[in-house]
Amino acid sequence: MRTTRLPRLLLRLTDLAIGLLILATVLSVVVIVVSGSNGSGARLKVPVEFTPDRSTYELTSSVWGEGVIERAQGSAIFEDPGAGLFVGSAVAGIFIFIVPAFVVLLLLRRIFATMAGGTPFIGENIRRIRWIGWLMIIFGVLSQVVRWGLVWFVHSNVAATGLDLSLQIDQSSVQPDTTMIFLGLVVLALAEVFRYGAQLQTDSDLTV
Amino acid sequence: MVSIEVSLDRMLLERKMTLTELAERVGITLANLSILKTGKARAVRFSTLEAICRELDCQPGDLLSYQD
Repeated sequence: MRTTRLPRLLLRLTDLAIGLLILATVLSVVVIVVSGSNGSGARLKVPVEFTPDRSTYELTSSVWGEGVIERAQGSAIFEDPGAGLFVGSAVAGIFIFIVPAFVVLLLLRRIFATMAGGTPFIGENIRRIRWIGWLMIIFGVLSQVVRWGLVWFVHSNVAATGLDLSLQIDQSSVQPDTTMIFLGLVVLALAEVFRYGAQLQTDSDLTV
Repeated sequence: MVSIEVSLDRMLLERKMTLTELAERVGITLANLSILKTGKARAVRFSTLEAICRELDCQPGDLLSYQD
């Protein structure tokens, strides 16, 4: 069966993406190891809201007279939160973001290889596409669970006295990544299209 | 499971022809003709059946039979 050049191009692009992802992962691991051994040197920045003390400022306008700042937004900065938080976040990022991305790219590479070699409508590709769909759905849920956990961790470990302070991030702002979940469902539907295509391909191959 | 039996072996023996020779005459690959001979085919084109009957000088009924 004749194929166009597109599958081979997609194959090469996927190889490039895999190479870049491996490089990024290796660099991340090096940074983690170096930071872990030297102290992180990273700053933790937490978005906050607070009510400034009226005695510490004077707000006036030539047009409107005196004013008051009800709520202000800013960032709470912790200069050296320690390597544990930095390393923990980086390791979680690798397992939750990089590993699934790597698996999806490998699966895509195998699918494109079958396209370049003839037909994509084979049983193996149906399984690979289903895997991609489920990985996307799991990622859409898991990434937000981890984010919720990080938000809870920050809330549990930040307290202010002498200041009416609230964190601008809270658990209610964490929602499942519906876009990723929806796309995952679309990919699962695509797997059914491939299943039908594989059936037609078999019928065609066994027609004399 | 397909219940149509293909009696290609018997016809080839009667006409003293090999499968390879028939494939060349009919114009399909040996692999495809083997699929037909071994009963794995899901469908047969009329053009293929016509060519086989022409080369073996037989009727479609001589080649195909339905088994219940």
